Amino acid sequence: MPVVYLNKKQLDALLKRSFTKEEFTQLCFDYGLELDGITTESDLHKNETGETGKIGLSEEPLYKIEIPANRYDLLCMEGVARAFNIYLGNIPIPNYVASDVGANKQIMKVKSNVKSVRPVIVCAVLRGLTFTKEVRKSFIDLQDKLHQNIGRKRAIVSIGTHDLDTLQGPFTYETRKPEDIKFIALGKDKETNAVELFKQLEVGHLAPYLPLLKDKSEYPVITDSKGTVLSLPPIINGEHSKITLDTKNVFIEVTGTNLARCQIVLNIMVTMFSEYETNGNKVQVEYVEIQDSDNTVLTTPDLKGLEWSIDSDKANKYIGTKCDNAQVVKFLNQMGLRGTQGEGNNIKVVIPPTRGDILHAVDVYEDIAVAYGFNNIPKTTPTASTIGRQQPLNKLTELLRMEVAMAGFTEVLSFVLTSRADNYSGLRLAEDNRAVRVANSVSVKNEICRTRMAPGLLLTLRSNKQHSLPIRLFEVADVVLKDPQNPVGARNERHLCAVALNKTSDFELIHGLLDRVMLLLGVTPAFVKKETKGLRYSLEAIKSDMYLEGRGANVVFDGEVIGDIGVLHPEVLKHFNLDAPVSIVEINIEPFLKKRQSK
Amino acid sequence: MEKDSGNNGQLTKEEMIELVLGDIENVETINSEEVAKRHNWNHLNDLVPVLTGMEALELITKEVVQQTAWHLTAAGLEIVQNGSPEFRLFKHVQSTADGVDKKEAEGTFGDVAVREALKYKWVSFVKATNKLMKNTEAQVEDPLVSKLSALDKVSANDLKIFKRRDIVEEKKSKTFIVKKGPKYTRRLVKKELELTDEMILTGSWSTKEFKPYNFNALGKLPTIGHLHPLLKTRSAFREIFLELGFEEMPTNQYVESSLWNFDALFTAQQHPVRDMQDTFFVSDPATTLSLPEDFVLRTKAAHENGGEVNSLGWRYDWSRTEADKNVLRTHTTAISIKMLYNLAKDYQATGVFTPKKYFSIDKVFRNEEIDPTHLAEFYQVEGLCADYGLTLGDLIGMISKFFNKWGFSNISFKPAYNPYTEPSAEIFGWHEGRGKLIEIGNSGIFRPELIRPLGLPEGVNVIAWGLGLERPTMIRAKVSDIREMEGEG
Repeated sequence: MPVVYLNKKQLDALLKRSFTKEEFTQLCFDYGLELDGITTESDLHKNETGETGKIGLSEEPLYKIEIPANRYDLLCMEGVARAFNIYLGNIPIPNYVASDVGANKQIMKVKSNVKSVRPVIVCAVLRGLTFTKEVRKSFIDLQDKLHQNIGRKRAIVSIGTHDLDTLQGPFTYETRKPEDIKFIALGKDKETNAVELFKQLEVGHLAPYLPLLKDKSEYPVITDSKGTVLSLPPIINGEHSKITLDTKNVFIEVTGTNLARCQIVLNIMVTMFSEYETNGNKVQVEYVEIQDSDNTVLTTPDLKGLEWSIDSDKANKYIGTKCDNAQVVKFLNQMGLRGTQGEGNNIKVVIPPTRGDILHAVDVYEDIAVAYGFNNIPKTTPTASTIGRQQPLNKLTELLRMEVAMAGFTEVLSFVLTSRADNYSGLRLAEDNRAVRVANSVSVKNEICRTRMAPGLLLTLRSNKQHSLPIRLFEVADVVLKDPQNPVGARNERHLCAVALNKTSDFELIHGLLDRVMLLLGVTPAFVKKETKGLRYSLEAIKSDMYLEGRGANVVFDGEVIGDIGVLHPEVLKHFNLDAPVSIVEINIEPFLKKRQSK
Repeated sequence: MEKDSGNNGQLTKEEMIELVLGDIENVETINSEEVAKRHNWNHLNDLVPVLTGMEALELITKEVVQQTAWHLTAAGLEIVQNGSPEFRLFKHVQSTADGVDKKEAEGTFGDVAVREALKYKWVSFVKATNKLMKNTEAQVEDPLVSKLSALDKVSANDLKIFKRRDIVEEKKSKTFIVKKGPKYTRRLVKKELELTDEMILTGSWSTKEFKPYNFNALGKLPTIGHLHPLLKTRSAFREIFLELGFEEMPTNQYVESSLWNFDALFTAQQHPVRDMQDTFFVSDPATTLSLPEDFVLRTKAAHENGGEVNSLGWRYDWSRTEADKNVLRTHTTAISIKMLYNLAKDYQATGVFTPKKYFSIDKVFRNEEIDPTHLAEFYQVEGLCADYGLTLGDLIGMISKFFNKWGFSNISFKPAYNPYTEPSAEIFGWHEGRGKLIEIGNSGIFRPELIRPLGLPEGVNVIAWGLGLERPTMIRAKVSDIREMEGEG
């Protein structure tokens, strides 16, 4: 979730009220934000860098607020203050407009070679904005937040902002060979080409973005009519057109791979700063004409918003309220969605350009519910009669867990993810190509999904071997096996595994546990001569390197091998760093269920 | 029977007790030192432990007597054995005809011996020759030996002199005056530690006395098994769901295609949760073997433009390759959505929609570094209800009922964001111990963009909520490090 830090004093001033911590916490909670804490710039700096007492940092209270990931309009002071002011009834819903300045309109010419690299560009001009230190900081921070979130670390959207008065349109968006892109990049003092620039940027905060272009033969570049480089998106702007405290007119270009997201970002940049006034004159938003190489023209920004109509009855029925139309309109307006009553239950609603999060009527219903107050909604419960049911496998699991614990074994909870070494070579078993492999685990501990429970239990034994002997552990859980019969190609299998660590091998005990489990499942040892029919099990000696010679056997249930049992080979103990004998049994419990069903 | 360490292991403790009981049978009191002497026991090592044991059994009482006594030193003992130096000098002079040189005698027997022999007039000194000559033929007694043999009769003055000569020393000693105790008995009755089957069989229990138990001590721990605390919580939550009439979903499928894990849940393919650093992707089997193709197409449309639903959709080019990628499921909702897909298929086959309440509690995976509050795999608890016309009020009402059963009485809801639910609400519960609201779960109504492609009838809503299993368990068990809950630890 994105986090914003807002100066309490500034926000109080904008909301025209001094909030107590409790009041502000409640306001955030009701609106769907979370006040995560109150800090100061100086504390923040201390926590980030460890430095203390840096001069010039404010000691004023700073709200740390968590913002829902889809509310791009709440990522800056301007947006939060506006939303709360509308919610609290302090201000009317603003009208966001862009003006067409005719022949003075800025033009962005798009060459076709950008299509395969970074195909989308949208632009706007903000005229008459006064940059105080606070405004400039907010302006830069917002770009950063948008880059990180909706921009997916600049891969999908990146923003360049420029002092329009240093430039001369029309502008061009194209790609060029990196060595042919020569400019003084932001914060540099020498002109370099893009190849040299990338070398310099390999260390530093822009390094993570370089891979976005690294493998391209040509890089995107935006220039003005004089050939001045505005930016090399999505990496860096030019020094020439940078925003200063003297900047009055701003040119915004937003490039990326997805038009919808680029437009949302442009709209946020524009609407967050278009409400400022200089000497009583509001900031003007001007359209920019995006001329594509195929002669199509797109005029941006699009601030009209969406005009929808919703059914108040449907909204009430979705939320569980009984609001009349006037109330619904009031709630819509409180959330910044301009509502007007229409015929019957029809309510017209304008989705402002700030609300890129709204996709469907249910998003509007949610806003009505927020304004109503989630915690004021009458609590009801679904009325349909349904019958509870357990999964048979889980029911069996619960029964077996109880019984094995009652037999004196302690239940453990081990990880599904394990290493090949623990799952195979550590058990002196050859890899059998049955294990599901993880593509991107950071640690070898998470290399594969276990195909046996044994490694987890043995690792748990290792971690607990300081306890007095005997140690008896068990777990009933899933292993994962590749399986071409399964639609995804792998399935789980529920195993019961128990281990006993003692001064002597304790095989009889593990064997006895198996006998007990079988008895509970109504399965009889094959060697017992009995008149009655019924399912049988037996142990059949096997040669397995996992077990001490002559001390390992398959567990056979109704003719099917369901697991194995034995005394672990001392080399296995060595791998798991155990210094006393361990007996183990591990069986697949799913066949018991199948046989029962088929019986 | 346990052998006493002292006494050369000759007698058992019980035998020693019997002897002491005999010693005081006919006397009022007896000194412990005398007892030790009588039986030739070491007072401190053999007798004192026996007396202490007897006192505990109240067979005797004893009083400490602190006393000082004179003892012979090693030099003193040597004198008793071989005679005093002056006596030996006397013998030596007597055996010579022409006397012994005084200097020589002082060298051999010591100045004191010469002085004492002269004092007793056993020898005389001839100045002219500087020799000691015999004074008498008579055999004389050695007074020092007789005095040292009976130190208790020696005058204090003599003792002082002896001490100066280093032949006696003063020692402090602790002895006891022993008397019969309230439970004195001439013969020791052996107390039994435990009742045995043999006593029952022979009836001998009726003549036995049993050693009293010490009830202020811990007993012996039986061999016990344990259930894992986290899985106890799992059982408790299963019980709550079953009480509320929920049906368990078959969640035993950890490997899932991205289609079911993400796309079917209207999670855009660019959503950060689908990044390599958040999700475990599977390299073998890397891609799913099959997907329901009709559903794939409807999902694609929902993402790209809203499809049949009146929604803007996410407005991007949906990629089948991304949907085919296998992952270790990041939530059990991957199974929930499949259950709803099957429910919709039933509806389409029969024309009848059956309302459902489903639940699951199972493992999910996130590509996280393991630390005190994060694990790479953990348990998710999930509940959902599907029926016509379910509301946000039903969601918060149902969740309140659910958490009431878990012991949270004050549940509140905060509007939140999930890609696949709208409205979405985080669930907060009042935590008495911490005195504040804590987040205990997440919830919402499934978006139409994912309900409609499943093929559920118009008007059916699905309300759902989820929570971790670890957090409620940690709160109850007061565990602060999640690593204590799972894995090897």
